[in-house]
Amino acid sequence: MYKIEVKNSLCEGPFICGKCFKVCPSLVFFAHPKSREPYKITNNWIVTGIFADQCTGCMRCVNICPKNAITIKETT
Amino acid sequence: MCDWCMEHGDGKKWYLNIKNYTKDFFGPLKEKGKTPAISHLEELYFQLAQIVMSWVNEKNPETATNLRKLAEERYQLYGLHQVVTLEEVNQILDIASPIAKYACPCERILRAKPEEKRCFSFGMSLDFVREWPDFFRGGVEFLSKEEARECMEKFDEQGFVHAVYIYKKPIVGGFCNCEAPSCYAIKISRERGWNFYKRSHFVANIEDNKCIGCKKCISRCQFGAVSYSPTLNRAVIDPWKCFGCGVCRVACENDAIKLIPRENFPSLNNVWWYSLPEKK
Repeated sequence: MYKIEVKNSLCEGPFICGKCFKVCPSLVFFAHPKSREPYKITNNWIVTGIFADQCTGCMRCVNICPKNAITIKETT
Repeated sequence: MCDWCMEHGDGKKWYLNIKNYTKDFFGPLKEKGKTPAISHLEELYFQLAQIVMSWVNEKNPETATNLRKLAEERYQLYGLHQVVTLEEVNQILDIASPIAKYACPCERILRAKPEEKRCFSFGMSLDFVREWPDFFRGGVEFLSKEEARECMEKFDEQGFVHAVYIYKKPIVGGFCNCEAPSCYAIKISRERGWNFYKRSHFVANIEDNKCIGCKKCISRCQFGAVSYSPTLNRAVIDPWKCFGCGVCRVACENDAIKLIPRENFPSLNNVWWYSLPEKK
C-alpha cells in the first residue's frame, strides 16, 4: 500500500490546476473545502489523496504535478 | 419486490409516487438550526471516504462489518441512487416540476471538473439554491419539460447511466447522469462492493439470433456486464452484473437488446445491489 501526500502550501488547488485528478487511473484524489461557512460559497478547496489503497504507484500524478507537491511513499 | 416500492410506493414504483415529490422535509430541519446533509455533500462524501479507509485498515472483521453498515445506512438515507431507464425518466419528468440542471458534485470531488451541468434537481430543493451555493456551484439552469427530455436523450446517447436520487429518504431529489468511475456511488460500489448504487427494475437481455456480434454495445456498459463471446460469435450480458440502465441498447443497430422486468426472473428479483446475495 502507498501513502499519498499532497503539500497544500505548494498545490494551486483542484479547480485551478487539477491535473492529478485527470491522470489518476484509480481516482485516489478527493477535492473538498478546507473549512466551510454555512450558506456561503467556499474557495479554499484542497486536494487529499484519500483512497490510497487503490494507488498502483504508477507515478503519473507525481510526474504531471507542475509544483512537485505530490509525494508517494510505500508503506507496509 | 423492491423494498422501497413496498414501503413508499403506494402500489407504484417509489419514484413514480407523487407523494414522494411533495413532502416538505427541509422546513423542520432549518428551524432547528440543522442543515440537511445535501448542503454539505462534500463533507458527507469525505466522511464516507474516511469510513472506507478505516474499514480498509481495520483488522477486526466485526468492527469492519459495522463500519460498512454505518456507511451504507447513511448513504441510503441521504443519497441513495437507483438506476432508471429512459422511459422511466420521461415518466418522472411528467410529474416533476420545476426542473433545473446543475454541475455534478461527484465530478467536482473526484475529477476536479466543476463545469458541466449534468445533474438534475426537482421541486422544493431548488428553493435552496441561494442558501446552498456550494452544492449548486456554478448555478442552476431551469429547463422546460421538453428541454429536459432532450437533454436526457442526449446524455443517453452519450452513454451516461441515469439514476434517480434522494435528498432524504424517500424524497425524490432529481436525476444523476453517471459514469464509472467518476461517480462516487459507482466508484465505491465497484471498488468495495458496498451497497451505494441500486439496480433498476429491469434486466437487459440479448435476443440470440438478432445479435450480429458487432461489439458496439460492450464499450457502453459502465458495470462490466457485457462481453463478447467468440464461441457464440455474439455479445453476452451477465444478468448478475447488469444494472438494467439500457444504455447498451442505444448502440445496437439490430435492435437485439431488450429490457425485461426484473420480476420476470425469480432469482434476480431480490438482487438490487452491486454485491450479490451469498450463495452456497
